[in-house]
Amino acid sequence: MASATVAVEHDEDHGHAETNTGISNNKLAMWLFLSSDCLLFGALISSFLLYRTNIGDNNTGYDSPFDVFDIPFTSLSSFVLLMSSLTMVLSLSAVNRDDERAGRIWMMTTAFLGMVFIGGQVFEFTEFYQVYGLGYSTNTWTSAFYTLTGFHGVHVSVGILMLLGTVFGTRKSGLGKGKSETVELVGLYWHFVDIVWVIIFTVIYLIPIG
Amino acid sequence: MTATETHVDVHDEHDHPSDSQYVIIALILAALTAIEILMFVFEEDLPRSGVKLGLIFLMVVKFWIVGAYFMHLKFDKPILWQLFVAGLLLAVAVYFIMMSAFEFSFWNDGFEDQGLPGGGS
Repeated sequence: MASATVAVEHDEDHGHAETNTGISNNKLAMWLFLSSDCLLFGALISSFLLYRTNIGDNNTGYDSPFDVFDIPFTSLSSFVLLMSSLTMVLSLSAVNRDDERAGRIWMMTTAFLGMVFIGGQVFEFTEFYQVYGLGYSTNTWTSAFYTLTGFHGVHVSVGILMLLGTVFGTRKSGLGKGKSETVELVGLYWHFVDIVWVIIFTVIYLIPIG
Repeated sequence: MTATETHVDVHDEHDHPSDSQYVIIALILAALTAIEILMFVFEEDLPRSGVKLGLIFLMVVKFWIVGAYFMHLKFDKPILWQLFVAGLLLAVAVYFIMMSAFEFSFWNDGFEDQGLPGGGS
């Protein structure tokens, strides 16, 4: 076996494949996807920055986005999403310990926190539309804002589906150490969604204009 | 095993933090978020440039903490960190170039009435 590739004795515990890089193809693909997703969000954030002072266009009556932002509420949403990253990593930790029950509980908690975040976003959008009269096509600010935060919301929703799919899709096969990489990949996606919100929250909601 | 065998060590990433360390990391992230919000609240009492720089600094720190510890980049193979940073830098570079083409100044916010499509009222 002169040219054989030998994995260390416990690689099967984590479902890693033997590759030249020592990283499974699935994991590498996920990182490539996340890396490319940076470009998508980079474009959306840039577009918003270009139009961030245009909230008053078409006579909306607002001078600044801070006239309509509810910072305490958004801060709470941000905190919820941040804590969902903790529950996600605790889920992976539990699965690595072969503690299936804890893994499932933490994963369901993560999905729940994601739903709370999405609920907050729906509330914010509804308030913008019904209370402040800001529709998607009202002006360039609203289009850029809804597109950016909406795309992020779609990412969170997909993450929730991935979490629920993992929890319910492994009811028969189990969610032990053998599924570690699956949970890790879902976790990578989830943390990426969180990391993007870290940027959106600061750049869109907190950094003052002018 | 022979000398020419390729040894795929998939377990260099196993010095992961413990659960209690993860909780501490999350608390640090929460504290940084609280500082961000305080900076926003007391924005009027602080120098504008200081607030902007401070918020950007805290954002970068939070980004790094989530990436390094929750996404395990600190413990994984360097190629993953390089891959992610490459995408990130590419995104930042491309869009800084794009924004500079529009003479956008994040520092002064000045895009209104600069002839952007749909810009200005």
